[in-house]
Amino acid sequence: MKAIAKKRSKLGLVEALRTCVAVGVSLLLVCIVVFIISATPGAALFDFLIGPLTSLRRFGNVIEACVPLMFTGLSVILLQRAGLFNLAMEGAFFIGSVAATAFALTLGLPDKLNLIVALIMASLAGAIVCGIPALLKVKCNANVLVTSLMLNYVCLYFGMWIIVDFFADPGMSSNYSYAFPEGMLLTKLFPKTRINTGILICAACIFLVWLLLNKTSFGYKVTMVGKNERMARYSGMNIGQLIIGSSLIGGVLAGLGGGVDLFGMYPRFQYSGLPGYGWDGILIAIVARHKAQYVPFAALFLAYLRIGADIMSRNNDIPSEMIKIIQAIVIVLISAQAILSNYRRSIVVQEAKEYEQEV
Amino acid sequence: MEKEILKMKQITKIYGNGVIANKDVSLTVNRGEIHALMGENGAGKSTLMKILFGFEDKDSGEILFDGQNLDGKKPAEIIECGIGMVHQHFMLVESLRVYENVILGMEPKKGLSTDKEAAIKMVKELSEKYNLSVDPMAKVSDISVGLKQKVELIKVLARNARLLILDEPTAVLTPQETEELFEQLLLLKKNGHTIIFISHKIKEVKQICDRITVLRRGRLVGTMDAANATEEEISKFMVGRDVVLKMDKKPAAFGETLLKVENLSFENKDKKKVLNNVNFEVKRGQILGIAGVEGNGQNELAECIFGFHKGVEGKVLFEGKNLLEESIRQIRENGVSYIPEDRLSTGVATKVSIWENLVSDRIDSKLLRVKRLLSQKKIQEMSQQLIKDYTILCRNENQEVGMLSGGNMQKVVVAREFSANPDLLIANQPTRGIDVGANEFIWKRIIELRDQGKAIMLVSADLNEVLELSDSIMVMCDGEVAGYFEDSKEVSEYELGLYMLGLKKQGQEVAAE
Repeated sequence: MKAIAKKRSKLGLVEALRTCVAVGVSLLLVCIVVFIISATPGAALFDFLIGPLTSLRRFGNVIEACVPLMFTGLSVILLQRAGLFNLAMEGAFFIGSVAATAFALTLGLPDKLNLIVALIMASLAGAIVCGIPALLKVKCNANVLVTSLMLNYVCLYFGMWIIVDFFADPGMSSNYSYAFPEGMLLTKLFPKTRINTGILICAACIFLVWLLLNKTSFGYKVTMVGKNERMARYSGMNIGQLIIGSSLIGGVLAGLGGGVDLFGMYPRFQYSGLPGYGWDGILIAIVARHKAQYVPFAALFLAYLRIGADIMSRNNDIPSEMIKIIQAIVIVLISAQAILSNYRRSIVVQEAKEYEQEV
Repeated sequence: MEKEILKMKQITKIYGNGVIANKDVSLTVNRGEIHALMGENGAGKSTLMKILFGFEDKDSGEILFDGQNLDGKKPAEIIECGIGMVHQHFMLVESLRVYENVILGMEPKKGLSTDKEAAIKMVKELSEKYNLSVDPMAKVSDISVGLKQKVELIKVLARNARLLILDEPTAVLTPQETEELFEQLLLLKKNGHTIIFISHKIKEVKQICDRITVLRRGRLVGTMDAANATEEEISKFMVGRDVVLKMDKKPAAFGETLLKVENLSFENKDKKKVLNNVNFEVKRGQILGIAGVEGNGQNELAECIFGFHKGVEGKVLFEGKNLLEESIRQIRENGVSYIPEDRLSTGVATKVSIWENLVSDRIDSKLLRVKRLLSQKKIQEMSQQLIKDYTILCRNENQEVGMLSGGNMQKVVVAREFSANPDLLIANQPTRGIDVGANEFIWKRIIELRDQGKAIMLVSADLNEVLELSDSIMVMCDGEVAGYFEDSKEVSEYELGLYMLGLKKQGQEVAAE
């Protein structure tokens, strides 16, 4: 049995290696581009690769940037678990922050209680948004990809209407809301950074999602629906319930993420468009191989790249749009099954032959 | 000209999931012979043919056809060389006419348009020459399975194939249709065609083949003359030991009626009435075999009873409850288990582990939990026990189900369904496409279940299976009950064939008895 266990880990190694190759190749491509367009490529690359580590504030920026990414990454893992491509997490994140704003400014409860209620409302709002495409799928067999994508624009304009018509501060030049009561913002944990208690909420969510997916029959069932829906149905599972259930939880995570990011980072509601964290969630989920426990690493990777690129573009002659290109390359490379496929195949063949001899 | 038309040397093929499908297999076929390629399902016959045809790459080996090396050739080029294949699952466009199907991809041209007249004439001529009696103008969706196979043959002949490969051609045919096919094959042989006949039915092979090559577990066992080999010898070669394809069982002791199906009718998605007023009963201690040519409603009957479909008319009474009003989960909780027809799409999830497949129906059970959370330890213990009890050949319970052979995959299904301890088992093609060892194992388990006083409804296209296992037999034809035999011994295989084809039919009152 020992020998067999060793062989299993070898295939796992190939998976890890593939991620490394994808990341490595994309970094290499960045270097090439930087050398082509920059007059001071050495300095630019230093800022990009090492920059985020050069001060506590910068490293704080990386950690802060992780939080919304982790929330939407978890959300995507749940939304896609049942095998559907529900993209409503973008809208759910946005509506989550709108709902948080609305309740924060109207309830007038004691600050801490106000915060808790606002975050719960943000979660519920997110759940409703992600639940709609799932419900339409189950009841009317509507294509989830189409309905969820369209729904994001409904969310954007509905949310902007709420903010502009009811909560906009006339004293601000943009469509910002009134400022939140000071005392209800999330507490900062480290001086000189904006790292706040939101990261603790996020850590709890990661643990809960891991528990849900690995230790409960709900997680098992949703996974089976995603792997083979026919088999799940035949085994006696209620497919519709599972699809809607996983979508609602995915929505809760996205909506809560919207609320936490808002109260952690901003004194008032400031979005004028969809923030894009939902889309980032897809990348996080892919890099984390749809496992909750890898989400922090994936988020750290992306946040580091972003902050690095930001520093690079501020100090050098390189546009920060470069980072979008890097992201695209990483997605393509990580989702490419063909990378190292020959190596993987040779391992499979070799193992099959060894196993053959053992029997 | 060489005596051999085809030489396949030392072919090895390992699939991406680690399954060794062929290992150093050699096959030599002589000009003008009917050569049987035999072996249990999963022995590697289909893979070998796919490699010959260029559908799959081989890992090593060499293929010579008429002295020409076929290495690296695409399927289209191989067809051009003169090799044709009639697949087990027909490759026909149902909505097109027969002649249109035949000329697809090789349309005779008149200017820019297709020369219809020439095409129809060609199909007619081929049909007459080989005595295939197919109407070129008929729509494929309207003709019988036997005729569809003839269309496939004409398709191959129209492309001037000299070597014809027939993949289990008799699997979908009635005994009568099989006889007809054999006459046509002999006629083809007389005309100088060479045929590779893939089958695992020993009788048929003895009847028409000249030589036999046997594969077992992906390896070549040997090639022999059909005339000199006895049936026992061939079967020994195929499974590596003596097998009795007969089942010894105690006489049946019927108990109370457990399942009562009343006036069951069902229209499928295409508004076709696939079940029409079906009535029958299954008693405790009874194995009711449901025979019929595939596609005559047997599969739908089983699926309707197990709650797969909505909008079913009639009643399915199980211990006083109407199963048609219940969900699959409730049906399972009542004590009904189901082995589905297609294990790959329904029976298992191939991309996940064995243990995940074993617990899919009982994941909510308290037995798998410690303090409301799933206990990996308890699941592991249960899985290991089932793997042992049902002799599932695997590395451990974490192995992906997709890496198992067909027989072991089916054992995973059987282990799950039988260990649920059902009162009624619906077994829909329980041994299709699996090796003799697993087959025998599953048969024994089904009979054990019967002897414990459970009721079994066995749907099978394999007449041998129906006859060996069943205490009673019901024949389905065109969605209706064509015949019912309380005692399976009172009916012969030949007579069953007549009922299956609809040539004979009992009155409804007899069937409902």
